[in-house]
Amino acid sequence: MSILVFIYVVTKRGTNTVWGNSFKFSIQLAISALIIRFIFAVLIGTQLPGEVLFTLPQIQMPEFLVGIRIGGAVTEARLLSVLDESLTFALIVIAFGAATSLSSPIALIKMISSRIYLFGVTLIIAFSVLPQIVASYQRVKMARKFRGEAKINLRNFNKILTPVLEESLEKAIDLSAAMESRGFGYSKRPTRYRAEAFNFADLLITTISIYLLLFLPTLLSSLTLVFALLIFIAFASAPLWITKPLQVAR
Amino acid sequence: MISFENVSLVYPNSKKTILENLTFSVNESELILIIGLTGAGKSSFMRLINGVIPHHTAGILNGEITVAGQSINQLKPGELSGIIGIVGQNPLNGFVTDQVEDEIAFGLETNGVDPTIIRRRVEEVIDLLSLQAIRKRSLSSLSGGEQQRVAIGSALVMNPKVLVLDEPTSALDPVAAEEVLAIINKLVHDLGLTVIMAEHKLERVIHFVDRIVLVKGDGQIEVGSPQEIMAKSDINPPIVKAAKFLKLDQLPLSVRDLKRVTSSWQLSTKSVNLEKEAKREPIIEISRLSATYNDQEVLKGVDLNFDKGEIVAIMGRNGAGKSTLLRSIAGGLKIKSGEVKVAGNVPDQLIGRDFTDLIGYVPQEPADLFFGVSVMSECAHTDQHNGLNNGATQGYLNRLTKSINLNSHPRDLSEGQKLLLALAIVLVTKPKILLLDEPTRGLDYRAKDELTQILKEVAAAGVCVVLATHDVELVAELASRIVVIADGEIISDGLTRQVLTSSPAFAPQINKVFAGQNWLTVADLIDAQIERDK
Repeated sequence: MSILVFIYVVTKRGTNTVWGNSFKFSIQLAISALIIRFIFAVLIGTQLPGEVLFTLPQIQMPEFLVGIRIGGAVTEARLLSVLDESLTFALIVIAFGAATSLSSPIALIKMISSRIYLFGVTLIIAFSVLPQIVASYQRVKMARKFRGEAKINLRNFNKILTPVLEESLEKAIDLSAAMESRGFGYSKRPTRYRAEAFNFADLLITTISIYLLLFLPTLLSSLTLVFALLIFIAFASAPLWITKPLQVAR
Repeated sequence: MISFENVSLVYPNSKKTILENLTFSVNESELILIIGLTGAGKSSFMRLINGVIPHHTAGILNGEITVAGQSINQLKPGELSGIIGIVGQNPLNGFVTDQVEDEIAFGLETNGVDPTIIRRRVEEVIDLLSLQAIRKRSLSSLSGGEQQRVAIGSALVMNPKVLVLDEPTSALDPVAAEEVLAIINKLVHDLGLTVIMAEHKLERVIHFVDRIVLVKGDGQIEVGSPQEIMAKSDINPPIVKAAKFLKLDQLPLSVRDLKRVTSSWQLSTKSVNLEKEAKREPIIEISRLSATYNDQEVLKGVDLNFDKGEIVAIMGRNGAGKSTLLRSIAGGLKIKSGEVKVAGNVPDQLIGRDFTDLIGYVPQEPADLFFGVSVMSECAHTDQHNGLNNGATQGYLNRLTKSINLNSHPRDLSEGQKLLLALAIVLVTKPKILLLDEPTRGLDYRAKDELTQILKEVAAAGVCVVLATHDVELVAELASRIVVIADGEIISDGLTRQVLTSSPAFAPQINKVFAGQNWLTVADLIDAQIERDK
């Protein structure tokens, strides 16, 4: 259910950038994790009581490994418990994929405190060079094929690596010169065009969702209200100690 | 606005003087065009103005350069950001953020300008450059022309007094290039900005610049009005060549100028008849080809044949599918449906010598082909890999050009030299077809002439040459046939003269001036004159 919601949100709001494509990858990863988990569950693991679905030939384990089996009977309860835990794992993977594909890392870097602004801009260069490296790797690989060269293996890998790295270096130097010509690094206190920090509505929603998730079963307990209040205060004060107060452009 | 006083520039470890004892000044709100052959020192000249030399790259500078009353020698490039705005050749290389508005605001943010002022200036620039429709888009999703407009915007937002543009249109298709040049023209006339621009394609800009600086390559420069410089220089766009041939007193700079003074002469000449298509002997056969690139369908059911010995130009907008078509012919892409056959073979299945004997492919970045540390080792590797005699590739390269230093690193060569080296590498195995993806990018007039000569010779030997290009004037000189692609479909396919004379978008300058005569190049015009005198 949640997975469907993620897929819907991403297809609705996703961007077709390098980062946007990471969602597809995360779904593939989650599915393959699910399959691998199932194969292991059927082959190896502790025995759970219940209705036996089918039986595989079992390997006799030595005396001291009690409780571990390879092969043998596969029960319904076993498969259900595996499905339960691996779905949780898949959900986490997909949730991360959805999060990265919806926001570019550059937008995230912008939320970093202005005290480590320099660090942030270093990351910007690194992040803009990264997709470019992938693109130039593919181009050079194709160019090698056009020179009638053999398939890539470990031994001739440096012949691909050299042009790719040379190009990345040239591009990074270009970018740093472009940044310098626009006056980067000459002012001690950069300002922001748009502040992208948490606002009050974000805080409220986050806190209420955490409260509901954690304490829904014991909603009426008075103690939980105290907990919720504590968490709320912690979140509400977060911008004060994570970032400096930002001037918001209007 | 800008003044050079006794400026000399030498690079360390080099005997060549780039600039020698130069004194020259640029007035307020002038549009200056810098021309010269590649390697003559055009880029050095521009880098001096924005302070990249000597602060960023090595270079021994003598003399005094002042911009808006400030001496550059004392300032670092970053401190000049409020005085000089810089726009490079490839806008994507200079982008810092990933969204249009943020990119424009970056320069102001990093200089600590008050957010309310940033807000206002960003809005002004968006209006000035008509970026309203794309202000929220991500930079990588923009077309080349839009990207270059954003790059100009992010330089303008700093309120510079001078805008320096280094070949701003070289990576753009003709429509996008016109878009960018129109903006530059508007900035000079409406804002009174001082603009300094380098550009290879003179025919695009020469009619609206104020003065031209010709960098000669021997340390000297020549400055003058476009007419003066065109009269002296042999770097001429077709219109000026035509005017020189017709011995006109006043050199025309635009299609309109030449049309006005030659209308009576035109009446005395004969038009050229359109040729019939010759018999066909196909070597590349493409049937119902569909191909995808990055999950997008780029080619939609293309049927095409290319013949031995013909030079085919593939034209169309950026992203129309030109490169994808070439790569599919070379077997570099997974084909979705349909088939491609080169002399009866499926190119995707060929490897090693079988491939290089049949297909030569020069990618958009010729440097992708290189992985040696010097030109010599690059050539030696090609010999060894293809089982050729020692020195075969080097010999071939020598026949193409003698200007390349064999000990230099392949990446340090000029664009034209890189292309020649790439040509030598792929042509030495004598392939039956030669594919070139936008070979004229960044080439000056001389390099283009060399390329034209080489390709004509190769085609005369029976090789089928297919090139993707935007360059109408080159196509008029070189190609025998044109295929126009739009949105992955072939919208026109025919002999060069038929296609170029039937569409105003593709007409070369000479055809625009002498409409109805079916002439494409200055050579046609000369032929017509000889015919008339008989």
